[in-house]
This record gives sequence, C-alpha cells and structure tokens, in this order.
Amino acid sequence: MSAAPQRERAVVLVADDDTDIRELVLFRLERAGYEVVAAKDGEEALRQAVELQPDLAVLDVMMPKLNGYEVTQELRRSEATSAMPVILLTARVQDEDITRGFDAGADDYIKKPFSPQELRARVQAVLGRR
Amino acid sequence: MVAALTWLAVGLAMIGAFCVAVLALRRLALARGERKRVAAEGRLKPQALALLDGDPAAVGDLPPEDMPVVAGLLARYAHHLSGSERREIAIFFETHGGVDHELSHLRSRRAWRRATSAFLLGDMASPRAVQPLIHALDDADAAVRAAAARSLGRLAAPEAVEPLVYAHAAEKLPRTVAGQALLAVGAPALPPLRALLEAAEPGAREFAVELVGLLGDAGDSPAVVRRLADSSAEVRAKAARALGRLGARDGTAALTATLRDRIPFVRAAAAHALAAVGDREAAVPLLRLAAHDHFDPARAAGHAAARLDPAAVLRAAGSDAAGGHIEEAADLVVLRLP
Repeated sequence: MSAAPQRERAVVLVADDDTDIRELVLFRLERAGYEVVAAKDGEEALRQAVELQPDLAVLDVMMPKLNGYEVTQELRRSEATSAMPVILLTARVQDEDITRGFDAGADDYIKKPFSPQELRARVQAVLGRR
Repeated sequence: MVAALTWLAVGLAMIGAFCVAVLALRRLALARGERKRVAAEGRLKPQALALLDGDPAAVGDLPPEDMPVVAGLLARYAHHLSGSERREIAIFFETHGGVDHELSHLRSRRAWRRATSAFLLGDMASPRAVQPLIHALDDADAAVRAAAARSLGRLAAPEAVEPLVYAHAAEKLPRTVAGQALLAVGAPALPPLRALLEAAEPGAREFAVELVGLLGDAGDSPAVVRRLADSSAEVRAKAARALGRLGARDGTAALTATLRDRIPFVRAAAAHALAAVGDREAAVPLLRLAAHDHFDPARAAGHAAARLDPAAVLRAAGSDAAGGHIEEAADLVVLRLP
C-alpha cells in the first residue's frame, strides 16, 4: 500500500452528479481548511483519485458512468489508492445498501438529506484515524 | 368572392406573423431573464452558502432585488440538507417574511398557487407551517394535498402523523405519497403510529402497522402480534409482513398460527414473514401448507420452507404426495446449491 503524498492541507475528493450538493460540500470543507477537488461522475472521480491521490474521497452512490460502489471497489483494487478512506454520501439507506457500501470497502456512510457540519466532522474523524 | 378570400388570407397571414413575433419576443425576454437569474445566482451563491454556515450577516445588507434569488438558492439547497443548516434556512425565511408570504398564499383561490406554497413551505423549514399544512391535507385539490404531505414529511413533524394516516385511509392521499411523507418523518413518527395500531378505523390500523414494520424495531413485535388477531384481513396480512421485517423470533409462534388463517392472502403473508424471520422450526407447518393449500399461500409456503430448511424440502419432494409447490421449492433448493 502506498501512502498519500505529504501536503500542507489535506486534499478531499468530492464526487456527486448534483451541482448543488458539490457546492455545499465544497464550501463546507474548504471553510474547514481542506483543499477540495470535485468530480461530477464516477469515471472522473476515479481518474482524479488516481492522478491526485487525495487524502479522502466523499462519493455519491448514484452517479453516472460508475456508481459510488464501483469507484470504491476500483480504489481498493489499485495499490496506489487501496488505503484511501472513502465516505459514501447517498439517499439509499436500506440495510442492504449500507452493507453493500461497507462490503465495497467504504469507511463511513452518510444519508441524504445530510448536514454539511456532520460531514465535516466525519471527514475529520476519518482523517484523524489515519 | 376571390377578392374576399384573398383579403382573408392576407389577414390570417398578418395575424400569424404577429403571433410569431410575440412568441419570439417573449422567448428572447425569458432567455434574457434566465441569463440574469443565472448570473445573479453565481454572484450570490457565496453569501447563501455563508448563511448556511451560520453567518446570517452574509445576507444582511443585500438589496431587495437580490432577496428572491437568495431565497431560491436556499430553497434548492434545503432539499439536500438536514441539521443546523436547515435551521439557518428557517431563520432566514422567517426573518425576511418568506414564511408569512407563502402561508398567506395557502389560502389562495387558485389551486396551483396553494400547491406551490404548500411545496415551498417544506423547504423553508419553519415549524410554523406545520398546522396550516395539516389543514391543507383537507384541500379540495389533490395536488395541494400531495404537496402538503410532502412538506410535512420534510418538516419531520410528529403531530402530522395521525392526519397523514387518516388522509390516506380516507383516500385523500395515495399510499406512496402518504408513506413517503411518514418515512421522511422517521423515528419521531413511531409513538403516534403505535397508538394508531388501536385505531377504530381499519384503514388507519393497516397503514400504521405497515409503517411500524418499516420504522420500528424488534421491541414493537408484541404490539404488531396483537394485530394478527385483527378483525380486518388486510390488517392481519400487513401485520404478518411487518413481523417479517422486524425479524423478531418471538413472533414466530403467532405467525405459525396465522398459517391457519381463513383468508388465503393472510396465510401467504404469514409464510413470507416466516421466511424473513428465519426460524427453522417453521419449516414443518410450511411444508404442510405447501402440500395442501390454495395456489398463492402454498407457493409462498414452499418458497419459505426452501429458505428455512432445504434438506427437509428435498426429503418432502421425494414423496408421492409432494405436489407441485414442494417440487418447485426443491428445484429452488437445487438451484441455490453451490
């Protein structure tokens, strides 16, 4: 497993096909001191994750091209990104959806509608554990 | 005659050209208005986001013409938000008169205006809208009632649970609309739903028991088990399904007894629920049902037995009196073998 490159500010990748949600999450995390990179579909998210090696990825589940589960599985398969923490952000909240997310390799799961404050706290908690 | 027709044709052509010109100008005006709105949103988004972040001063000095744009942004963001950010949105709309404005339009003579207000009040997140929205569940227009239900769900108002259940029971709200609103209320809906399990109206009991199955936990099993003895077959069937979702083993005996209910769809629901609960001891009574019952309950019982005790199903399929449903269940067992 390779570690993420050392940086002054932690980098968070946010992937969601909904522009409003990307703006909400981006604003909150930037205010909390993170550098945020945005993607609007699963393929772009995977590409950004491989190129930039963010410290954490926040992924919507229902995205075009690749969904959040698939992106998480791909990240876990690659040696360069296998250790990257992943938080799934989604409206799919049945038990089987949550189980599927953790089985894919996610570290945490946030339901929509969501509180950006709570998201920021979970990002901090996950990054703090690493 | 020819001249009259010519003049008629010219007149119609001029009217047509006039209409096309009006439409084209209207289209240009709308496009220009849309570009201005998009530009204003881009300019004001940072202030709207800062407000959500607990900085109301960010929108304190805005000119009046910018307020509707900020309000539109906040209402859009409210779709996605819970927690403290929604409270900031409620404060904004209360402070700037948005809630009062929409509450007044709930009494409009135009149904579309009432429906629009009912919808927006859910995104404005103000608790003051709850009682007016509950009254709107009695509106004469279905779209207004649906919008009110949706907003009551967004406001997560426990006092709306009973009105929503009764609105559905009275066929004023489709099941999906009322159900989604109640699911959006979430765990705070459980105390009133539990009380509705004893309601006089069978439609209310039926809906309440289904929702307790979706929102509740194993601790709700005793109350749901009591509904297996309800006078209404629909309530008994929904209670059986609910016990399957709750998954509590202490419901198994009651569900097994429900396999002898006089109504076939209730027996079928009990069979499905026993499969979900997962108590292997239910396989024997299920196999009996699969061998002798009407099509639907027999098939459900066969499938349930296949999940609970595959070996018993394979043995039963070997006997001459097995019947089609047990044989089908045995095929399912074989298909699932690794």
